Amino acid sequence: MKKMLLLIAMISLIAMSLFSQGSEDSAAPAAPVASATEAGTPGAPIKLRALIGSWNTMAATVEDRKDFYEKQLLAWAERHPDVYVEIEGIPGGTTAQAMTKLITAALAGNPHDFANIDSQWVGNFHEAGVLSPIDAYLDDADKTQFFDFTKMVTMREGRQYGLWAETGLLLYYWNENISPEPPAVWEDVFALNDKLKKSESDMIPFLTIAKGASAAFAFLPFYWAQDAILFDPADNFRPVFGEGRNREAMIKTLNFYRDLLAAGAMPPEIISYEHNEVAAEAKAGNAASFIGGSWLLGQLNVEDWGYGSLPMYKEGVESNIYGGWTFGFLAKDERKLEASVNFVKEVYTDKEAMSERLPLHGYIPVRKDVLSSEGFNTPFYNEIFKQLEVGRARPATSLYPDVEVLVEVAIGKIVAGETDTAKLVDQMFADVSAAYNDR
Amino acid sequence: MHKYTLPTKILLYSFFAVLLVFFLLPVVYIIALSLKSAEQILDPVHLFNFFPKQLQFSNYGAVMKNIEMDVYLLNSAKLVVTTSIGVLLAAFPSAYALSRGKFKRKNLMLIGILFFQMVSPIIISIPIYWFYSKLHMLNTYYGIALIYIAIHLPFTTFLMKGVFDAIPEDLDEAAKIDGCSRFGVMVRILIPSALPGIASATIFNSINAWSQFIIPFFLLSDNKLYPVSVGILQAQGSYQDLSTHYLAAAGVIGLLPAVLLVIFLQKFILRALIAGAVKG
Amino acid sequence: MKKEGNFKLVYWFLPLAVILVFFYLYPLADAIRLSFTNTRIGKLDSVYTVRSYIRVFSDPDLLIVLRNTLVFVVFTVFFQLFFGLLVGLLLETQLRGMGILKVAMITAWVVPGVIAGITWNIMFSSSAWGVINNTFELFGGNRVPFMTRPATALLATIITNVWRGTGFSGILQYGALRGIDPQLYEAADIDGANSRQKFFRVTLPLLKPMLMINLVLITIATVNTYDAIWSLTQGGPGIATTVLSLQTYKSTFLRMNLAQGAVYAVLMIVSSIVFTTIYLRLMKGQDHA
Repeated sequence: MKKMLLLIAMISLIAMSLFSQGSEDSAAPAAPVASATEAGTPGAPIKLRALIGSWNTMAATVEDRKDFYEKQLLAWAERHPDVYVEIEGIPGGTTAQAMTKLITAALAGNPHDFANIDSQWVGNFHEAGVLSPIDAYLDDADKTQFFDFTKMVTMREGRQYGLWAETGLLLYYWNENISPEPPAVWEDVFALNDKLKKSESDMIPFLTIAKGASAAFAFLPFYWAQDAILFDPADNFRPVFGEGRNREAMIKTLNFYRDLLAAGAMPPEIISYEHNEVAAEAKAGNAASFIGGSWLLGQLNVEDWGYGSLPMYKEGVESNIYGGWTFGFLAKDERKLEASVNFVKEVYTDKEAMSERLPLHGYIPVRKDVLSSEGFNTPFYNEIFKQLEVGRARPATSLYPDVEVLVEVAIGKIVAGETDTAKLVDQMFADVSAAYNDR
Repeated sequence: MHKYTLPTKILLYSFFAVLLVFFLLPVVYIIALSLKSAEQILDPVHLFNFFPKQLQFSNYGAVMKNIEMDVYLLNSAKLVVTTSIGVLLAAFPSAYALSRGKFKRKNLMLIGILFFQMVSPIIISIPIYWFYSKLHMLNTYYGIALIYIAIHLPFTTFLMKGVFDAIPEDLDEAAKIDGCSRFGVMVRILIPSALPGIASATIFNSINAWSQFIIPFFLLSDNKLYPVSVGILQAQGSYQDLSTHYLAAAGVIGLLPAVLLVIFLQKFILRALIAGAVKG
Repeated sequence: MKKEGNFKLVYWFLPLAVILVFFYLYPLADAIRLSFTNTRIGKLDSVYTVRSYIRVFSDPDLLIVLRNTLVFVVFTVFFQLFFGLLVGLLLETQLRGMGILKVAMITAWVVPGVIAGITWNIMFSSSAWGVINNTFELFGGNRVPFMTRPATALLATIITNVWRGTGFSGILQYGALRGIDPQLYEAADIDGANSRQKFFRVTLPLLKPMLMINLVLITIATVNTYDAIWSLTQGGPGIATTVLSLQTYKSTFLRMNLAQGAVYAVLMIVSSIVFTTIYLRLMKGQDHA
């Protein structure tokens, strides 16, 4: 019976806390605050709701990043005493779910006022018609300094709907003790495999990423290098990757994976590898070379590792892919929209913010005027700028997430033993084409 | 109590050992992960050395500081309590009617109620989002609690019907002669006699409510309202950083109250009126 | 429903009925309606069509997904029942220390699906950090590529789900065992029954009704499981561990194809009904025999 009483006591305690919520609002005008969940002056007349990747907020798991965001948010709050922002974080690994939820909310009429949108999802937001144009709130630098590839995604019909915050791309990393001359073409990767096998080394010759959204991210540069495209932007983003030359390129790229796996040059474990896992294999000395995000360099011992262009199907071609997140604006109210744009610019995307923020993350800038600043004059960034020339952004169409899911599945099927790559390509294409026709 | 021969005992204890390792090993592994540094997570360990030598307790501090675990815990507690009580209140009358009422096709009706259990929260979440949005019930406690109650209602009705069945009807009759209404009988006679069964139902409901994921994930978009099941994800960094140790620490913090609650409530099952649940 | 004396059944069922209509029947009807449209999340207009059904049924992967679902459900349910019963029986022996088993089993049940998936993924890994494989090697065994071969990956998802789900079935089973009247055992003792005879003649028949309910409930729960599989294998390699619920999840939340997700959801309900009908038939058949 005592325990029953305890239980009742517990219940009533919790019930009391249930009803004691409303008392916080009556506070007097307060000083600016900054935390993982809020920024600005509580009780300010303009109240915004924001959805931001947790790693881009004070919820960041790395101390110096967190300190940076605190400083940045407080400075912004001092300048804008009339604005208060409620921040909701997007947890790592839940991008697709968060984007789906945001679009559902936007169409139901209650979205956040602005949101961090993964660049490959921007097409879905354009097509849903939920973004507000922000041209009126941009200055000259905002309009002229951003790279062209960002505009292909953030702009539609001459109007700008978003600000691209940072990018990251892929690098090929190789252990210099093993291959001072890195593989430049696919055949070299197989040669490296033969060399390691001959010396009876246990090392994994070649690693890439084939898990989740990163599977397509690491796959597409090989495909694009063959002068192939996924969707035809001139024809309303109709899927074309299963037609003619594109189909051949898709098959050839899947064959590359298939043959690497068959030769033992690449382990089947790639399907459970994200960037962090390939880096772990590299750091443990288990891998001779790997493909991974440009931001991984900071984790490696630079003495041992060379980095540069991805090996391609033939000599003389280069290709890469732009990742990274944008900010999209969903507020309809003009005052809120302006306050949102100013927040994003001052905290994330103007020249000063971007110059200071990106090196902390190992991200790559997307504005020309940032490139010239001090922190970016390093051998690493010089290599990166070379890669920026040859990259592409993922197409801004609502069917890209379908491709992303299907490429991961196709690679997984090859790992599971499927050898008929043409069949895989045709099945993927039939699937995405049907989705296109059904829209 | 039985006496067991030594070989039987050995056999029983070896079953015990195998099952114990199976259930506990992953839990211990999660605890080990929660005490590692980011660099140690992908270390080549085996079964006898996976627990880190240097325990990084600071992961817990970091999690408590970086994400609002206390808020999430309180939210979960509120939801669990509201759900457990609400679902009982909603289940009692129909369980009573199913137990004491005499009508045709009672079994069919029981199966009909269980049918609702088959509907997955994945698919009802979006239609509910739309109608909640129209009713301005998104981002509200009672909104989420009502769905939780609905999710647990079929099973609870089923369970309580069985519990009531096990209580002799003579008790009802005696009370009725004393002038009790049917409602009075239910409240004064059946419910007090059903306490152990109620405790069992509460264990099931609170554990399931504690671990609901897709409904709160999809219908809530306010950090201050998240329950633990959704909130712990905030401990997960981006693709940039390995943060499994933080996620594990958040998971362990989220696990503790549920395990304690279970240890506390499970004593009631010993009285096991739950067996009555199956005689209908 | 008919009136029985002053017992107006309708009113007693009112709370249940209202809640089920609002939170199950209406959304379910809406989901079924969606399955007959071409709705995508983010698209403003949609039309009624059966193309979503045609696409799902003409997908060559569907058969594999159905087969995965069948294997996953049958094995998961069998082992959850088996281990649940075993734990219940061990607890009933009243031997010292057995109580820990109950807490251990329930703890596994409380672990959130996402964390369960991530943890088992690290443990099953055939990479350098895979605890299970490293332990195999320690004893001179070979590494098993759990996550990269279709059959072993499905086995891994089953093990993970059995681990998580046994708590529920174990508690139900244990409750039922505790409910058996000790006098029945005593009577059997007097008749000179040995423990095996006691188990098959007293325990099992009395447990049967609870086993049936348990069977139905955990089957439904297993058909609806997706979160642990998602964080364990993402349904891979390829689609080797993709079950219906995961297809529903992927179609809806990753590909935003609400209509197709709804078709898979309808298939989930149909498969739950099929399983339950089979059980009911089996039970009826036995009763008549």
